[in-house]
Amino acid sequence: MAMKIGNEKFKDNVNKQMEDTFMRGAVAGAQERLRTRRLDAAEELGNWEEWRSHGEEIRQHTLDHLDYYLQELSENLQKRGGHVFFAATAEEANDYVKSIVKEKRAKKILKAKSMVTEEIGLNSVLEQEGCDVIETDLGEYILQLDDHDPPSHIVTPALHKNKEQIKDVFTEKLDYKLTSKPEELALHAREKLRQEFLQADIGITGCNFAIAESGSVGLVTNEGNAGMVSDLPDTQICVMGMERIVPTFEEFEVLVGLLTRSAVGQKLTSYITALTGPRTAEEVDGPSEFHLVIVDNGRSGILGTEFQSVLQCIRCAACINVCPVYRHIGGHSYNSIYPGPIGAVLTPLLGGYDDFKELPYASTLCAACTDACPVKIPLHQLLHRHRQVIVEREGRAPISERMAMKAFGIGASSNPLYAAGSKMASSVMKPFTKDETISKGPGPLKAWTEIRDFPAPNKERFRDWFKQHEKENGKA
Amino acid sequence: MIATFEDAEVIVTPSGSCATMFKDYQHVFQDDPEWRPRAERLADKTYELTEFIVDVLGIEDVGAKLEGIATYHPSCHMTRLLGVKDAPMKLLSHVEGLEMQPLPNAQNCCGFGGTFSVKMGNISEQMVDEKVDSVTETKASYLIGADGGCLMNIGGRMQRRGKPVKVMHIAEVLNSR
Repeated sequence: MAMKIGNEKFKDNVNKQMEDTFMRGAVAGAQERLRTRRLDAAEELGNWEEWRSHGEEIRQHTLDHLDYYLQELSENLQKRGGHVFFAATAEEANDYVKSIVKEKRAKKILKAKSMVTEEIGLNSVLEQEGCDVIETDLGEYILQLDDHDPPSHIVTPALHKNKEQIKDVFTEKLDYKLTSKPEELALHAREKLRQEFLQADIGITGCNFAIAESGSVGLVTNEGNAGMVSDLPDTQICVMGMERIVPTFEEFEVLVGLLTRSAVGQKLTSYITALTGPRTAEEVDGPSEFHLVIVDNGRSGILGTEFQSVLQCIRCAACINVCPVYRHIGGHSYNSIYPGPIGAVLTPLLGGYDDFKELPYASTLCAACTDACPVKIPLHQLLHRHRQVIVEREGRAPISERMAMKAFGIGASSNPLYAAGSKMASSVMKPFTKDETISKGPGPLKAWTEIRDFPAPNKERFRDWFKQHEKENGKA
Repeated sequence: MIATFEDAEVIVTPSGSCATMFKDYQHVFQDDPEWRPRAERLADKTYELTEFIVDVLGIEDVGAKLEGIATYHPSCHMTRLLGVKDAPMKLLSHVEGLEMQPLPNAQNCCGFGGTFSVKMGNISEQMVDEKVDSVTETKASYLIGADGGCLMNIGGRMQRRGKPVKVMHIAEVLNSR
C-alpha cells in the first residue's frame, strides 16, 4: 500500500462508504468531540489568532529557507554520529531502508505511527523482504491486523471501526478471548506489543518536526509507543517528509502547542520526545545506529508554486475534523491516505490529476477547513485553484460542463441576452411548473431536482418591479 | 458588475456570498492596473444587508413582527469569509413575537456549494438531509437565512421531503408586520 489505497472510482467509493452507517456515526461523533475540544483548548490558551499567525510565519519562513535548514539539520545530526539520506523518490527511500535491513540481517521491525512511511509504502516493501513489520500505534496496529485496512484519518487512523469490529479482529488474529471493553482490548494489545518490543531488530519512526539547530527529530505521541520503538531496538530509522522541520526549539514549542491543541484539544500530549542521533558513550540507552531518511517524493515540485502553502501543514487533521464532506463520506472515499480537505489539496499534487482529479471538487468551498487550520493554509482557496488548473491549464472539464459554462458566460455578459433570458424564464419553465414548484427539471436542472424542488421563476422580474417602483415613488 | 455598480453611493446585497464575491474582485484583478483600483473602491462600499442595517445604520430593531418559533442557518461565506456573524442575530432578537431556537451543528455547510450541489449530488443530498433533520429537531416553524443559495437548497429539500417548515430570507422576516 502506498498513498493510493484502491483502484475504484471516486464516485463508486463514495456511494459505498456512504452506506456505512456505523462509520458515518463514528465520524460525526468524533468531529463534534474533536471540534469542541480544539475550540476549548484554543480559548484556554488565549490570543489564538495571534498564535495561528505566528505558526504560519514560522512555517512560511522555514519553507522559504528549506535548503538552508535541511543542510543545518543534516550537518548537526552527522556531528552527533547519525546518518542522513536524502531520498528524491519513494523508491529511493525504501531502497535505503531496505539496505539497512539487509546489512543488519534484521527480521523484526517495529514502527511508530508515520504518515510518510504510509505514503511511500514502506511496510509492504519490507514485508516483501521477508521482514516482520509491526505497527505499534494502537490504531495502526488494529488496521494492520485487519489485513492492512488503510487508515481513514491522519491522526486517528482506525476511526471507522467500532469496538465490536476491533474485538472480532483480535479474536481472529490474536486468539483473543475477552470482551469488547476498550480497556481489555488495549491491555491485550499492550501485552502482545511488549513482547515484540523486546525482540525488535530495528525501530522505525516518523517525525513531527525535525529541529535544525540540534539535529534532532521531534515526536509527539500519547501512547508512548514511539519511545519504545526509538529506545529498545539497536538500530533506529526516522523517516521524515522534507518540509517537516523547524529552525530551533523555540519554534518547535510553538508548533507543538498548535499541533496538540488542534489535533486533540490537549495542551500537550503525554509524550514529546526529541531524538538526537545514536547513544553516546555516556548514555545507557538508545540505539547504537541512527538513520534519518528525508523524503522529497514530489514535495520540491510544490515549492515555489501557487500551492506552496500546503507544505505548511503540520498534520493535525483539524481541517478533517470540521469538514462537512468528510463527515458523510469518510476517509476511504478519498482513495488516499491523506483524506479530507488537506488530502484533497495534497493528494493530487503528490499523486497527479489522472488518479485524483475529482478530489478538489469534493468540497462546497465552505471554508471551515481554512478557518480551523492552525497554520492558516488557505485550503478552500487551494481547492479552488486546483479546479482552475484542471479546467484552464489541463483542459479536463467534461464537454457538457464546458458548454454550459460557455453558454452562461455569453448570456450573463450580454445585457440584452440576459434580459431576454430572464423575461423568458417563467414561460419556458411553465410546462415543468406545478404550484410554483419545479420538481422534475430539464437539462441542467435535472440533477438538482433529482433530490430537491426548485422554485419556479417569478412571473414579475425584479428589474421590472424595481423600475415600476422607481416610477411610482420617484427616483431616490 | 463593477461597471454597473461602481457609481452607487453604497451597494447592499441580501446575500453573504454575493457580498464576499464583490469584495473578492480586487483579488481577481490584482494584476490589472485599471480594474484593481475600481474593484477596491467597489469592495469598500459593499455591504451585506444585515451588516448594513446594524453596523452602518446602527439599527437593531426595525419594528418587525412575526409570531412563532424560528431557527437561523448561518451561511458559510457570510460567517467565515465576510465575518458577519452577530448582525442577523441582533436583528432577529428584536422581532416581536419571534422565538429563536439554536440550530444543532449550525456551523456545518448545507451542501449547496454552487456546482457542487449537482456535480456531487449524492454527497450534497446527505449534507442537506442532515441540515433538514437539524432544522426539524428545533421544532421551528421558520427557517431563516441570509443567503439565497443555501435557502433554495435547504428549502428545496425540505419541500421534497414534505416538511412543513417555512423558509424565509431574513429580509422577508424584517419586512413582516
